[in-house]
Amino acid sequence: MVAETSGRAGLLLCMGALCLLPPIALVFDKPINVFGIPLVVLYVFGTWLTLIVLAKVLSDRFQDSDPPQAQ
Amino acid sequence: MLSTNFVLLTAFAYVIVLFLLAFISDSMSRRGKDTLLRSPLIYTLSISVYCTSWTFYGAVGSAARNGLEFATIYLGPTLVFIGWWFLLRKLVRIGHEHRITSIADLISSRFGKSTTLAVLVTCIAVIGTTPYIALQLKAVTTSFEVVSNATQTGILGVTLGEDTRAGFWVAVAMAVFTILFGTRNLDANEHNPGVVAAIAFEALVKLLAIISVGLFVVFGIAGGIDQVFEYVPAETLLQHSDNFGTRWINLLFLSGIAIICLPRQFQITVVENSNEKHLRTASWAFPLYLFLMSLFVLPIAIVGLAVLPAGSNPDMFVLTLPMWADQEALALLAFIGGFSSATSMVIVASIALSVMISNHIVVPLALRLPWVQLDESGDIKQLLLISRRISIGLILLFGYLYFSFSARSDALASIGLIAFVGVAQFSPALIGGIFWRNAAARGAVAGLSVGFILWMYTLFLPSLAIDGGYLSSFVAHGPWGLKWLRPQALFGLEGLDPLTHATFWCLELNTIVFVVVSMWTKQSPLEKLQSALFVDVFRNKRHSGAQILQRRAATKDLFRLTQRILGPKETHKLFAELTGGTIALNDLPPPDPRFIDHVERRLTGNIGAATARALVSQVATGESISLDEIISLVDETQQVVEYSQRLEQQSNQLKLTAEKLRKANLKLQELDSQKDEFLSQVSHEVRTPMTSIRSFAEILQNTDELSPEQQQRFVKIIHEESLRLTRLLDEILEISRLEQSQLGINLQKIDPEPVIDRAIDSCRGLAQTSNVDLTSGHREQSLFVQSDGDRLHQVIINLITNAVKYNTSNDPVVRIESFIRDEHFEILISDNGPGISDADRVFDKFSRGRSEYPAGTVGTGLGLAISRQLIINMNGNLDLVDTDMNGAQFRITLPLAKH
Repeated sequence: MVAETSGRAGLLLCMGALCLLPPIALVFDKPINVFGIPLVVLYVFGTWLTLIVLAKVLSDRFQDSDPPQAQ
Repeated sequence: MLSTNFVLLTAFAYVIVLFLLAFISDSMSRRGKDTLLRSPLIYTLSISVYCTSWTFYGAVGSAARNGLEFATIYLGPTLVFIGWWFLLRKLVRIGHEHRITSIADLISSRFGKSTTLAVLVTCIAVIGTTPYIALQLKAVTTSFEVVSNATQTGILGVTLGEDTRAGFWVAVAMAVFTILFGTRNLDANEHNPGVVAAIAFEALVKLLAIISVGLFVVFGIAGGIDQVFEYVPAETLLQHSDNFGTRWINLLFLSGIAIICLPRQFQITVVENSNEKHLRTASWAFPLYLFLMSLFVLPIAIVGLAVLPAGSNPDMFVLTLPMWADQEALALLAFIGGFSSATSMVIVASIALSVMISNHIVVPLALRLPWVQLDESGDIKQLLLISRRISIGLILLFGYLYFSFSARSDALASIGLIAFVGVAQFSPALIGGIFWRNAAARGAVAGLSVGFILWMYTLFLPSLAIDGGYLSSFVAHGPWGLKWLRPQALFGLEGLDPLTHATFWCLELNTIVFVVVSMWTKQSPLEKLQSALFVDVFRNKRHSGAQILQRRAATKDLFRLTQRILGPKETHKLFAELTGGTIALNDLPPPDPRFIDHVERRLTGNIGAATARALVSQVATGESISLDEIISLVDETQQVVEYSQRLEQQSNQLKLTAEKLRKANLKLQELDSQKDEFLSQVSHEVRTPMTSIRSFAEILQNTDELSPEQQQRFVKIIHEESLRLTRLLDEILEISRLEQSQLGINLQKIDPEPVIDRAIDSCRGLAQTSNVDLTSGHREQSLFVQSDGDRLHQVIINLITNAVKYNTSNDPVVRIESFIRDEHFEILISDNGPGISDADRVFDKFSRGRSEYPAGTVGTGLGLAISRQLIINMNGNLDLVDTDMNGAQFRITLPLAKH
């Protein structure tokens, strides 16, 4: 359970880094406005919020499996 | 229009609130009511000390100049926190296990408790952080002047920078605060609850301030989020050519490193962490905090550029936009937000630095100076406390001096990122140290030195350059006109912005030197041990290093040393704990290595690993490190093998348990079926007499013309059947009592022969009527057995009666004999009847073992079972002897009584 969750945490980290770095991020760097907001702004903040939500989900999973404690 | 005095008063009131909050939290914690203070939420909020005034004001400035780039400063830490499982968790675990007091302590401890490394890291941290503190003082001063001077120049956010008094008083207030609440405990594992509470409170204040300003700017000035991006500057800002370029990558990387390596971040995230589980919450909550902090940065920048007069200072937009809109309360809130970001950084940074300075510089120095006499109890503790307090004062003084000398230049503007690159120099040693076993102290020293020198040369020095001065020509043309040595184009590397250029050279060369030197040097045994303990912190058993480091010390010396650092009270507590209550030093045996290790570990929490080791080494002699033990600790395959062996052992145990369970289950099933069988037998046995009773009763009831004789006969049958039923039930009751050993057996030393005679006599009448020859064979004389005479009598009668009753032979004989064999007394009762067909089940309840039954001799089938149970309860045995002759032979065996 912990191994599975930590694998997913690793995947989340890698995906987050990939999405926030070129070249993927460059795809969204276009002069387009969505609902009056530039696409690139929506992209960066959207990715950010998604990462936070997924990190929350994973942290709950870690809680269920209760990793070993230090003290 | 806010008057200077009013702003000053507000700031003063805010500082008073901080003091009160810290005081209350501190005293609550002393009374043990610190559950709230030790919650994951407070932990997360305190990590946000990352957001200094440089981010509070500067993020908007950065957005106004470089568009989205400001987000990288928050995105880097976001990535590190969502990946907490891999790096932060390990750091926090190591911090707890080794009682780490600072980042310098961690690096030094990992590399064999090296004092050199501790000093080096401390120096870099101080040099990198002091200008950063100066930057905070500058931000407070500037914002104070701006907010209290709402003339045209105020709106522009530009100040003359001549009045540095605000900065001075802030420095003084923060020094007092930090000394009061940040130096209460020496022990790293005893936290500073007052400081943490104040920092968490400040985190809320700055978040509230920036969100309020943001909401006002978006909805109050611009009129909606889509309206913001209608302003002209939006397009130019966002279509910045360098979005997602090398600078973006570099900043993301640098901020990710900074969140671990900045001394204040390390202090809050690792040292002040009270529970590893809090990281789990911080892993998403801290990124969320950063997200909220930066949500309105871009709108504020765009609106500020659009509506404020040309030449306005973008770094002050957070403050000047509310002022422009005549929102005095909001401007004041923004000022307090910026103020709180500055003060929280100053507090935590000065604590972190003072711990490093006192642990790694002052105490080792004091111990080496011949004229410093530290022999009294608790004197090192005093030295530590005083040196920490003085360090805090000095750090803030230097920060203030740095600020007042550079107040008129722009030298401070870029110091935030410059400090990031400076502390990033720790990262190869830090990350390499906890993941790479072969990382060596010399590698770390060499790498750090190279990185630090290059950082000074390529980044710090150029930042001090003033237009037209010597330094600026030095930067432009290189030393002695050597172009390839230009600080911002080292070795001819041009085309990168100065920050990326410097990051590249410092970190790359730092890492390469660190790795190469580590590979070419041999680790000392202590280094090897620490490396194994750090790298495998999750795998090794706690304190497994204690057995490896062998050394001897006199308890008295150890006690005296501990007393010098912890003071008498704590020392008594510690030694009482370790010795199980005895503190009579002269009576104690010399401490074992484990004991010494424990003491050293405890001291480490106060004075850092290197100093604690140096001190303990003064009293401990004969230190040797068992290489074999280290090898077994280090050897991964060994651990895997041991692990798999343990698993195998466990699985074997499981198999055994399963087997036992299976057997127990079988036994239970057997017992269950026996019980069912018994029940069905009982009902069957009861049913037969009941049926006959019922049918005869019905005949008596329904038939009128029965002769009195017939009536008499039927009533007699009913009576007999009832008697049989009663007997049956009595016997069932008796055997169940016997089986539970409830029926009293009165064991006594008796002579069994008269009992046998009595039984034979009792049966003679029956034998005569059945024409059976009842004879007595070989008989023993004068002996004693442990038995119950009456019960034995009952058993013998039962056996003889059976033998007589079921004997269908033409010339029936029943013979009784007795012998002594193997210390046991035996009674044999034999007959020449038809014998027993099912010898295995003859003693079972309701089994009637005889092959043939003479008419009218059906018993209850419980007699033999009762007899056997009785004899067993007398510690004897009743069994059926296998003989060649016809008939059956029963044997009662009883233990002889001791004379």
